[in-house]
Amino acid sequence: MIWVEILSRQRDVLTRHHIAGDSLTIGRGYGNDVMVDDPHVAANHLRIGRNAEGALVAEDQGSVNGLYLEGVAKRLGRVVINGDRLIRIGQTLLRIRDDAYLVPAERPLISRRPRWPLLVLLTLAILAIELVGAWRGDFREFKPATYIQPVLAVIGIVGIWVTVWTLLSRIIVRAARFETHLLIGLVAMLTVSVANEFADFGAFALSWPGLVEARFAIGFVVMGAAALAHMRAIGPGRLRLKLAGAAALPALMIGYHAVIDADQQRTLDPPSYVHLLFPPAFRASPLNTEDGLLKDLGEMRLRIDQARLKDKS
Amino acid sequence: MPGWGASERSPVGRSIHPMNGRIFLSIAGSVLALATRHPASAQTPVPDQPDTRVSGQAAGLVSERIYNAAKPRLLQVRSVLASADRQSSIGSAFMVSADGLAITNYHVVSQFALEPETYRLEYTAADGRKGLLQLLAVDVADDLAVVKVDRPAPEFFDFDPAALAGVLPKGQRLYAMGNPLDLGFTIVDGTNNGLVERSYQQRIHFSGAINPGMSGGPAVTEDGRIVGINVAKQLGSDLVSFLVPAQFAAALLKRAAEAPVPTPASFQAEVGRQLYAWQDGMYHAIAEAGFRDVDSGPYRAPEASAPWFTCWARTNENEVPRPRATDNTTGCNTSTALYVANDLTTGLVLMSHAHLKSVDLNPFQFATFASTTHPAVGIGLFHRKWQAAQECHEDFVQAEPVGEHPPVRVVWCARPYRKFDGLYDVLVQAMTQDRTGEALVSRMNLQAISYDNALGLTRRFLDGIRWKP
Repeated sequence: MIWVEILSRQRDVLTRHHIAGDSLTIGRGYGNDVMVDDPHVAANHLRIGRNAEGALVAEDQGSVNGLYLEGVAKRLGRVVINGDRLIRIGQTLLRIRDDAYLVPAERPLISRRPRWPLLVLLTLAILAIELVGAWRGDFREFKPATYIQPVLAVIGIVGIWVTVWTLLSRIIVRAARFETHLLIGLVAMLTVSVANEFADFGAFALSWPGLVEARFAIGFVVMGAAALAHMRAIGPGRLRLKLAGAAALPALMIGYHAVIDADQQRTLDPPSYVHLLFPPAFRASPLNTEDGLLKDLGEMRLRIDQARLKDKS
Repeated sequence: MPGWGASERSPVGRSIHPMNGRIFLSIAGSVLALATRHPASAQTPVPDQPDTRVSGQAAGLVSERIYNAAKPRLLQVRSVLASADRQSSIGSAFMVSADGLAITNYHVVSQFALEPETYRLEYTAADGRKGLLQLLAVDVADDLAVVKVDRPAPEFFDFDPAALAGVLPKGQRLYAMGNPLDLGFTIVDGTNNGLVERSYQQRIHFSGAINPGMSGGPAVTEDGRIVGINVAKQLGSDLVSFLVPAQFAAALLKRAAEAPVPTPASFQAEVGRQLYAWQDGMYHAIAEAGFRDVDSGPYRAPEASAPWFTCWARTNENEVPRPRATDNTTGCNTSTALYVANDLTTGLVLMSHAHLKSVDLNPFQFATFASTTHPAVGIGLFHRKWQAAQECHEDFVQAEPVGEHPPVRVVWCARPYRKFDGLYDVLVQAMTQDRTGEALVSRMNLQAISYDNALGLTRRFLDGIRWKP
């Protein structure tokens, strides 16, 4: 008794064939025990039998495209099958087991700890930061839109992001895993919100306008990390490729941002000072003296003059 | 007169405010440099001015006599775009020596002076004769230039001795000539109203209808002697025009006659040198005149004492909806506006102090209010052609002695001029850091200033920000 299972690229079972006896043939032709509709499979491609020890053996019947074992790049003429490793003929993945194959033990139906309190908590934390930020900067007459807009913006961004990943997950592994993706999206958003707050405060406190600029970089790095987490949630394989993808996203965006910045600086003045101020109590850098300031300005003159000479040519 | 803008689009209509459009332009209108560009569009109608002056037959006879005598001494000056062989700006000039020297405005010849490889200078005499002009000397500060025609001039103007001595009677009838809007040579009469008050640059206030294209033309007395050179008119006003006093022209003429003939390519550097010398003079004069204290809430702020500053104030107290923090701003600016090129006017100085006080804002909102309503911005348009990238420095500063001065947050920005060595547009902004719901935001804009002068004024300015004792 032998089972032949044809799997999708995502390792889902597409069809399952039950063959009585100790040998069978697989191919595109109608004379086979199992027929495979793959143009890259030979009419008589594979024969499955048993060796002297009784283990299942697959044998190439002289096809053009050959027989491969999953994870082995070399073409093989004959393979001993252990029931867990897939074999490939043409573009078709096969899993062959006999009825003695031992399946894993039954997984008990334990109710996991519900995740929604954490999700709600994260959402509330993000909205709180946005609302406090809006309130902090609101010096005009009260208008509800001032507070609704940032909330809607955050909900929109997280919503679209999580929806895209959930759909991808559903398409690729046939499981939406919505809660996991939502969790990742919310953690990423919270990280960005908190980082932005620190950047704004820090830029004023330390007289360090570069921090405000760094907000973009932080945002894109978090985005890359989140993308990696989403990809890992979809499937554990191909870690290197996923790492490369996750690193490429912030690298490309930061690079693009730098190009745009450079273009703007050619036509506009770069914003080289902190624009958003905070109460004086948040100043962290020490007070300079007038002499110290004028000394710094004297040093700045050299930089300005050098930039001018470069610009002149 | 905050700007000389020979606007490209509408020579009579448009005013270019050098103050970035955002501040208290309570000063009416702007001054228009009188070279016209694109004469086709110069047909923009100038409203007819009802002539309220007594213009009897005698006056008519005088101007007829003056014009007939002056006609062979007048020139129209054209800046011609060499590659297209078409004029790009026109003005007027007048002969002042037998060997062909003539006087005009710097702004009439500025295109040629700054870009001699792109433009050439031509003249057309009243009798229709044309020829090339040679540029001999410029005086950017007083908007004058000496040119030479390619033939001798048997007839030329003399300077009026009273004008050279600077004792021209107010109310004296003067006659201005030139070629307005490329319509042909014209004579208009008007009145001398003395030197413009509160102006660093000496200009004669001439009540007469000067129009674009008459720039560089002469203004003469009844006996035909030069008292001034047509230079500008005030936009948004009736018959308010300005002349450069004759003594500056006489001095420049003397310099030009004595010096060797410069090459056309040397004028850009010369303009830069003159700008540098001019700012040195003006900023030293400002420093020497010193600063006086003005009270601004619990603070005391410095205000320049030099007489050519115009001061103003504004409040937001009556705005609707009722502001959640009050903003009482006072400021002073000079009316200095140096025409360098048709897209570069510079030399403005502005100092302002905003006293901000929270009504019901919390400290965060107040800080946002202060930074949003009083950003550290420069004045004037940023032209990449003229200016390189700006760089800023910010710092928290405590002036000495500590007990007298509040700590301030300083933003200091400088933008160098690309073509003129050693000149910068500088912005200094200082915001007090001693209270949470109240602050003084002081700002100083210094156009076309040397770095050392800017540093010196910065120290004076910061020293002047104090607590009220």
